[in-house]
Amino acid sequence: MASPHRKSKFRPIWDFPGFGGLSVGFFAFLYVPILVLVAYSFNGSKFAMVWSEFSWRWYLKLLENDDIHSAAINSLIVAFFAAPAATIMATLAALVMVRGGPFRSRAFTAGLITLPLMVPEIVTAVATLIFFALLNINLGLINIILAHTVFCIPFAYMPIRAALEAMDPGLEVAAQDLYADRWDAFRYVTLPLLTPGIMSGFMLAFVISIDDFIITLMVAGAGSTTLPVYIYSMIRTGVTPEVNAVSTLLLAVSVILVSVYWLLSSANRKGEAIG
Amino acid sequence: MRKNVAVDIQQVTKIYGTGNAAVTAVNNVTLQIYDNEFLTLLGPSGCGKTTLLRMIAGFEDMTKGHINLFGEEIEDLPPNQRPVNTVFQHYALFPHLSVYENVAFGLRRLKKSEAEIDHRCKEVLALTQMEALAERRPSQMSGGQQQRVALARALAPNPKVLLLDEPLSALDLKLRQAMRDELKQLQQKTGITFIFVTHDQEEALAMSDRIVVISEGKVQQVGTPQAVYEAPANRFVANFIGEANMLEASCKTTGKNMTFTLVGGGTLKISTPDVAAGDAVTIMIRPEKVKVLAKTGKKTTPSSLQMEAKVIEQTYLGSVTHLDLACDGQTLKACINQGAHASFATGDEVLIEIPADNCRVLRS
Amino acid sequence: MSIKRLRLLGLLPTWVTIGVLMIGPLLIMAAVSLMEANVYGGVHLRFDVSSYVQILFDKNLFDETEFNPAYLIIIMRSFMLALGATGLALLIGFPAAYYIARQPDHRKNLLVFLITIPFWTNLLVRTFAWVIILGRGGFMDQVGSFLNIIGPDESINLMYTNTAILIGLVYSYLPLMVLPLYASMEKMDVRLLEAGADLYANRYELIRRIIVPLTMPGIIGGSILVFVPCLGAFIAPDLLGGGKKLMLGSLVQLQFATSRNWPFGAAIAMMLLAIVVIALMVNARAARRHAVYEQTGAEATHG
Repeated sequence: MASPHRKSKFRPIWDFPGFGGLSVGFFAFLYVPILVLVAYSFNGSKFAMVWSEFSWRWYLKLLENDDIHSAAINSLIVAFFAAPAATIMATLAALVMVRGGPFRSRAFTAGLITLPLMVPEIVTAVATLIFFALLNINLGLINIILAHTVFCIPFAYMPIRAALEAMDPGLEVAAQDLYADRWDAFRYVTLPLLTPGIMSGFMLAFVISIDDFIITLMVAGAGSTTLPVYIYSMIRTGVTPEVNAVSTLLLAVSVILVSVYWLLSSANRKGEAIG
Repeated sequence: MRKNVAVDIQQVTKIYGTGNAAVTAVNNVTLQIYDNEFLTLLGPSGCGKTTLLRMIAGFEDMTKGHINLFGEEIEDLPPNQRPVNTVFQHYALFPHLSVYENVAFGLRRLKKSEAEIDHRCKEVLALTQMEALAERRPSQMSGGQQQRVALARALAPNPKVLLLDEPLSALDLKLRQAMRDELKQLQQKTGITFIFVTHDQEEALAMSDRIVVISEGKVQQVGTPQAVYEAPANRFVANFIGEANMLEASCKTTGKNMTFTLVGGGTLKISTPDVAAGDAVTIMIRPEKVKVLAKTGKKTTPSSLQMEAKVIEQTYLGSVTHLDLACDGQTLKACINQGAHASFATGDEVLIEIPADNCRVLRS
Repeated sequence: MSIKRLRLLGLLPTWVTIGVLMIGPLLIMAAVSLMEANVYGGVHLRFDVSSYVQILFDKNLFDETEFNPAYLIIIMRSFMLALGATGLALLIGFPAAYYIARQPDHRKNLLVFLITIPFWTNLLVRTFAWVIILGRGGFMDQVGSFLNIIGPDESINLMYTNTAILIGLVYSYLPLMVLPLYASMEKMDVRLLEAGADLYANRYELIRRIIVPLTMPGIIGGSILVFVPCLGAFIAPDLLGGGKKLMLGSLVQLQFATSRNWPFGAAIAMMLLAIVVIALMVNARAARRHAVYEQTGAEATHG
């Protein structure tokens, strides 16, 4: 009996028909709006929503907009203070939480660090607003930096803790066996190995700070507008194509930073696989 | 008595991947498995035995060939429409369901009545002595208990064929030996055809009606445990099942009794139909059939070959002692019963005897 | 330095920062919600529960307390939209999470990364993209008229509707549904599906009887991660609902931006906070209840 190749399509039992197509639809849903926004930022038309031709004109116009410049600079100042502050605190906390042995306030600290993730943003925003207003703290950008530092801590903390947990504590023991004291072991073994994790944490904190809108909107006083808040006011006062261009730039910054973070952490994963 | 064929495997081939990366897992296997028999697929890991089992269950596609179940084609049926059930290697018990609900799972899918489900579940749980633990979760049980539940779950829908994929491999030795007897009894009690996959030759010898030895995707030999042990079809089977001494030889004369001359000298007269004059062959003899005598001992059987040898190592194993013997430049293994013979010391010069009746001629 | 000192030194900055700038403000907000409003913003330091009463009742002309459904309607709308968004996200996210979990490792990592990217990008900008798509004469209308579904100057007219808000909410928080779903599905042992099929379950029954119960922690976790921020959402109802279809988040924002009724805004914020606490407790319970499955699943995979 000759056995030709079988004709019927075989499908492993865990392979559900249609799920592949639905997944394509899922990714399309996630990305088509972003791509539409990016495409429209190169729209030559004066009307934000009507397509005419490819043009850089709105990007050129951004160059001339002083308000956008100062908003962007404010955003960068805030992120460059809030992200490092949060990263330093998160690093110290992660070191204690992962390598600090057992201690009583561990669960409390873990809860405290995740608290900013749990509370709805709008609640944090108004609570912070009330706090600053009632205590009469009115330090312009510093108010924003303080508020950002708080919710950046958990985002910086997560990758740093993960990197520390993945690190072999035997390495520090080995360093101490080779006559390093505890500080040397930290300085020459733990810290260099933890650097990619700390960089990842910084990257995420930076992105979260740059992108924050609601808390900044509520906390920011006059003259301390950040880029997202400025974009919001542009949208409110009438949609011009300039919004598309500045939005695209903001998207690009986030995507680049998060991609760098991903490459850093996947390099970490590969290192582990070898080690 | 004509035996009923339960599973008819016709020229089945399974190739994974394509082009240069193609790997042939199962290579043109043809096999009849009879109703009500305990058949073992035996082979080293990666030999294709599990792939064959999974093709019968419907989890894998065949590249070529046909599988019939009681005369009906099943190759286009998905696993949930085949009247076979599987005991998985790591049990694959549903962690979110109780023992009872695990056992009832198949019956519920078959839309049995609640009374019928209850009756059948109690029956198979009793059969596997798990009635007392019916309400437990799989995570609350030992490996041996999980094993029994897996068995009960697969037996509950009363399959025509039960497939067992190395079900004892995760158990410790004592439990494994106890489960062997139980599985054998269960098969006889239920009358279901068991197809049992294992890489453990002892398991295969202890339980099976027939053993199928598989290597590199091909069937090497099919036979009863005695047949595959005493009359292995080739060097692979001889080496894989039990231990074997291999002596290279050439075939001298034709006729009913042929004479084989060993490479190291010495001749043996053995009757065998399989070889022709001039063939280079291998003579296989099991260690326990090699007789070891003191240097002054006398030949015990006429049709045997005697050689001088030296004990180079001995391993005491309680009921038996294994000897490694240097003989004509090669090492032979012997296995002697404690007390039946005088004991030997390492370095002793001895006489060994190879009875022709216990030799098996294999083509090289 | 002793280990105790080192520990304190490491944790103190975090304790102080989050304690002073997060817990402090929340406590003050709780206090404010129980004070009397000052018409110019801020509060009078007098104990007053009227902000909580105001959520459901109003004073009529004769100074009698009367049931006022205005805020209840907003609360109900918030709940319905949040529930709808959660359900839709689950429906869209489930097959995708399952599909990704069954891919080879390198592709799995890339796809998970692609899901996280929108999560890290600016929510305002991502929601604004839907203004371009749904707005009058926007991308959808252009595609619609190109395909002759609508006339050249007609509009699909979804902007400023509950549907538009719903789309915006699903789009905003979909990654938060898929990531925990994916994590659960990746942990699930595929051999359990084979066992199910071997015991006569068809694909629908495999989903219903095996996949759904085993990924319940992910389903519950993802649902909470979507439901909670949807309730407090401000951007989607503001941009896509045109500020007319209020949700709880926008109601809170209004009390501080224009209405200047701080205690009432704080009371609504406290209500949101209470819902979060309940949701977290539900999640913790579910996680405990389902921990057993995941354990055995992991063991099976390990062996």
